[in-house]
Amino acid sequence: MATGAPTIAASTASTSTRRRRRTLGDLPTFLLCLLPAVVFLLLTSLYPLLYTLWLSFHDWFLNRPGMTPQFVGLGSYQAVLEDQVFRTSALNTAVFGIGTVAAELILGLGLALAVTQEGMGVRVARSILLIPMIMTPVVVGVLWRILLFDKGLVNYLLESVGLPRILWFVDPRWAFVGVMLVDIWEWTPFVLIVMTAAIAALPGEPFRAAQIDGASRWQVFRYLTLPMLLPVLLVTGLLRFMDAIKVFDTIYVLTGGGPGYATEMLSSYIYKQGLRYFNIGGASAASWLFLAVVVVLAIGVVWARVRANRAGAA
Amino acid sequence: MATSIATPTTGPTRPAPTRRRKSRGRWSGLVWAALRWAILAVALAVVLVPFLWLVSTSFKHEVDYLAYPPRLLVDNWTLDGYRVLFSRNNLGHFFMNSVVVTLASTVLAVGLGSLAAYSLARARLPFRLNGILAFWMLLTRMYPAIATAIPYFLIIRDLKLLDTRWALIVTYTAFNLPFVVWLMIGFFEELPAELERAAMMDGCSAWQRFTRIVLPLSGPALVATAILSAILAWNEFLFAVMLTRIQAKTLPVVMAGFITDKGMLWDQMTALGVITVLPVLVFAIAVQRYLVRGLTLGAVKE
Repeated sequence: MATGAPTIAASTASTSTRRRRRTLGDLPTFLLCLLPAVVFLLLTSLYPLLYTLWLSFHDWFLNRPGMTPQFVGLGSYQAVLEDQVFRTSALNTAVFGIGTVAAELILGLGLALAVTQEGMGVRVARSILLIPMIMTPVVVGVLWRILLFDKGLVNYLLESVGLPRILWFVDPRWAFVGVMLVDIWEWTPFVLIVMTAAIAALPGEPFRAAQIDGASRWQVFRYLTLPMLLPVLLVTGLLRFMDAIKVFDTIYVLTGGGPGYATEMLSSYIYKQGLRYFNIGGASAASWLFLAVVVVLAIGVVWARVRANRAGAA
Repeated sequence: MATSIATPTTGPTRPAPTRRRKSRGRWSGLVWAALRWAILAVALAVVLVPFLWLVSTSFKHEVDYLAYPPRLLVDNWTLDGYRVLFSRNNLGHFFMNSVVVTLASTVLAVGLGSLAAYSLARARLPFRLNGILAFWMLLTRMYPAIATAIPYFLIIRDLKLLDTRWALIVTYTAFNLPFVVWLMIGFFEELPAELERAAMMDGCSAWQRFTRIVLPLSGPALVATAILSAILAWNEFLFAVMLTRIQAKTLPVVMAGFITDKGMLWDQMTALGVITVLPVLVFAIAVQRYLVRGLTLGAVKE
């Protein structure tokens, strides 16, 4: 559109350079337009976050009648950090995030590189490939529960190529692999569409030069395509990772965190602590520990976007 | 977008790392082409088979959906799954919950969000507010929703709004607002500022420019943004399961309830799945052009 080429919109960077332009008059009107949204967001996002912070320094069980929040300083944080289940779910979340995102990046990039043809059929095919991503996550979970059922389609396919059946929801390791597979099925399309756009935006000249010089396919990929795509790949990976570690819906439906705590993730841990055991202080402390990690990652994303944008502009 | 090799100067072209190369001979070219189509075919199968499985299971009898070996197509189709689902579960009510919550939160988010986005796109605010607000919106979009789950539950409980549609409308508006602002900033910045500058010379106020010039020009973008945030609201589960019990349940919550209550009623479960997913697919097709941009949070402009 404006740029003619898909660019990584390093929004903070690009907007600030564009905004060197003069304001188009009427500052009060603009502020008035901004006010409702800002007030709404202060009330619905900033206030709850600060409320969580306050709660995280208190001991409070909702299910004990008459109990009021009691200040315990960092007590809740200590309790959470010492909780074996919290540690397990934090580790699970990290492994889940890294594993799924790595697989999604490799599959998505591979697919994007393989399907660079244009034309009606390919466009329709690409749209079909987006289905998993827009499907209601709870439905995705239910669907895969059926497919991974011990007498379901996946086990049938395994048996038909001579492999043993897998008890996906009984064996802790396979349960973990199972929830990862579902996430990969759901989100590889995301990497695919970002990478397709990024590939389409690559300049053609270096590739024609390489062709003239007789570079092999592997050389072209290794020394041209991959380095040029690396910034986008990094941003995509970070964005995906931040989403992956929030996983809740599919876990809730597929395994409920089980068997045991094999697929317990931070989101499901906080949910259970807060809304099943009504341990408000503990759940809030865990929330802020989780939040701290995500904020660090978010700053990383913004930084990577700015860099990718500069690389793209150069 | 220019993709033709003949006009290399008009714009970026697709890289042609595997385009026909005479030195390598036709065979290698053919093998690569075959490989590409094979990869595409496998990918399509991996996506489509599970999806079709969902649809076909919803039309199967119990004998068929529990049969081993499992089969995608059977001889006897039935509508029993849908019939029982509707007759026993008060589904119309829950469907309406989903519709009302989605519509109301979308209208609110797009209304408030596009106003704010216009200001952020066109005004130069004091105290570097543009950058600060933009970054704040991004953070709001990225932080894990679960981190606000506990206070949301407490606040909604104290307001006596648990298990009401209002609880979800407010929540979803809050989630979709930053999303709308982000998308709309991008769209508004693409509009030529000259038009508005000219209007300003003619004495149009910012409000007049917004309603008479900007809004009419960004109709498609607004619709696309609205549909994308509607999809997000429609699919939401965490807050729906947390803030509703019986009356205000949305379709995903009903769906999850099936797992715990009625383990093996696959025909009804998948029928509900089809009903839940169908509107999303229809809308997604309608905004296909903007889908990529919306789903990647403006990470890619097309």
